[in-house]
Amino acid sequence: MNTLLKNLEAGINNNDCMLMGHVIAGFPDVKTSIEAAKGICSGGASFLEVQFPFSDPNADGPVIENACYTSIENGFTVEDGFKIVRELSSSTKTAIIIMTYANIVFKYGVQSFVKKAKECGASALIVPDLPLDHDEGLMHYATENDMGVILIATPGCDGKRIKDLSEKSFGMLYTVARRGTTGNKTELNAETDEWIQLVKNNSTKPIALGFGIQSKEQTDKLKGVVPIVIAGSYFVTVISKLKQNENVQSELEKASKALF
Amino acid sequence: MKYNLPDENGFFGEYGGSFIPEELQKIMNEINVEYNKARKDPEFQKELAYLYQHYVGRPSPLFHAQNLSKKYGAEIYLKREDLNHTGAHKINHCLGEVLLAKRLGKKKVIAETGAGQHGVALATAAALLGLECDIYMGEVDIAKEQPNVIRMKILGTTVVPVKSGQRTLKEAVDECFDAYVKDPVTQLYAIGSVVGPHPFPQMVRDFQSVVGTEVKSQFKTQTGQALPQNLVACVGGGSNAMGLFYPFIDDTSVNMYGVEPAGRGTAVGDHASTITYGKPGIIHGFKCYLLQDENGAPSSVYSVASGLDYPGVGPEHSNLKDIGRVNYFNITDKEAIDAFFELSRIEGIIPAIESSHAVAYAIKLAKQKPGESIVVNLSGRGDKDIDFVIDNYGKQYGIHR
Ligand SMILES: Cc1ncc(COP(=O)(O)O)c(C=O)c1O
Repeated sequence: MNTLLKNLEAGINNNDCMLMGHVIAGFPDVKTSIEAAKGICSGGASFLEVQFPFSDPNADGPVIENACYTSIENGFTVEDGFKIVRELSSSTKTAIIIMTYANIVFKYGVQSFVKKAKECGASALIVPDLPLDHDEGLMHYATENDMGVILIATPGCDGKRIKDLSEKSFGMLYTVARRGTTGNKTELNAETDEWIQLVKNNSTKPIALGFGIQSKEQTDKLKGVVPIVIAGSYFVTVISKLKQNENVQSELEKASKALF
Repeated sequence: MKYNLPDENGFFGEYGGSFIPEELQKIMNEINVEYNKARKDPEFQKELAYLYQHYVGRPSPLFHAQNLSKKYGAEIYLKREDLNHTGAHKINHCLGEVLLAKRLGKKKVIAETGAGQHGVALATAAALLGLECDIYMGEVDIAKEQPNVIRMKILGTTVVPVKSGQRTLKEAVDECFDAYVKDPVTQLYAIGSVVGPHPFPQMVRDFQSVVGTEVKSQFKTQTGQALPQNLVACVGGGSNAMGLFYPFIDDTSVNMYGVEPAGRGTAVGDHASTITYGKPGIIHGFKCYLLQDENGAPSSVYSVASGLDYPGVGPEHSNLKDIGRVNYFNITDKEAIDAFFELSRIEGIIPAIESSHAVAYAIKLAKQKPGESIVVNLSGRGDKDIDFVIDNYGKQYGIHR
């Protein structure tokens, strides 16, 4: 069974609040990004997004954007990305999700990219700028390979769109808490409550809520509200602040545990 | 068969489309719906036509450049977009975009700019029609195009310096996209060329096609011939070229030439000849020829003309290349600068460095096609470029400060 579906089922059955972590492949370098990812996984993440950096990540804010630039400047290749995914999926129980942008997939060849992702043990794909109805065959190939594409619902979607997206999304519906790019802290206020409620009322799949999550205080409020929380820029920030000689894996494990 | 693109999803053949996050898709759909209403609304068209005539100064002249013609042996005509208010073709689509922004109830228009021409044109249209305006511009271009930066500020626009990457046009687009994603509700991203997600490539082309439509009737009136034999325009994103070409696409006797910047060499990073050296890719929400490396990362680009150094190109040009309807060639920095001085000195017209690329190619073409008619889109005037040209090339042409 697909690891993502397996972890999801276990978490839902246990009524857990699950964590989806995030690393930038090759940031600050390939080796450190692997160690950091392992730390997030051993810290309790059920899912991990491994972002293959693109120079123009148009759904991401400055923290992730800068990490992407650094990785690219250090010579990141798509093959490095697959190497990282292979290492993580074979050494952890966390479901590995490849997150990237359209041109990376398109240039590699959509079918080849999906096959390679599968071969390296990835469970799912997230490509924010390949839209549902014009995705260059991404979803078709993913389904063919016992994987899927996780779709993203953003504020502004109406109930019907949320329903459509959730039906086609793989396992869960990635739900963005507020407008704008990744990174800024989200105030969990009446407006976000209303939005989350709209998604809950219309989604046919469990909700993974993301953008701006960085503290236990926030996740405490979300317990029982959504089954999965996503922390992206939070982990990338921790990685960017690592000092020389620090044990990368244990620092990230701590950061992961600190969210709960 | 009559040319009828894009299709309803914004595709020109395999190019174009709308490759953007969910959040922006909804907004693009709204823009598309409203644009299609506006297109068929006589009131909207009347207002635009009024502004073209009385504010921009349209129709712009079609000038038979007899000195140039005599010297190089063909009949060369210049479509004088340089004489428009604000000095380039960009005002044609900016007025359209800002009128549309008002229809959509937006408070602010935002955009990227390279040479500053689109920025100035948008700042101008925004001032006229009462909207706020933010322009994103790479720091390198800000230094190179000071007069336009100052113009925008005088017009009440905020110029946002872009400090990332190569600090030129591509990064300005990136940052403007970011700003747009943050607030797509009160702002409209008034894209500066026939690029971006659907419906922008179509919309900007439609607004610019006034250029080709005028050329058609002016050429006939002036020469008694039904159609010109050759059309030449420079291609950055490709808006001035689409404006000239589009009304002639079904006139198969008309040869069309798009001119890309060959910069200072053929190595990656030394040019921006997207169609000549690129491969299909996806950037800034659309599919097109793209200069990119084997990992799919857009390549760094360079041209002496700030308005041409973009690693992508309009999706319609990408398709016109594939179906063989338009020929694409490139012109080096040096050839463009030579043409800049040539046109200045034998016709008394100082062209924009971007447009100088088209002039340079027309001169080459004239030698290959003696006696034929060639219409060049003189997309802008060169006032903005004089300091840069004199500082970098003055000595070679005997000019000292
Ligand atoms: C005078 C002039 N011509 C041409 C261009 C290139 O744009 P496009 O290819 O969209 O016409 C620019 C861009 O700034 C310009 O200022």
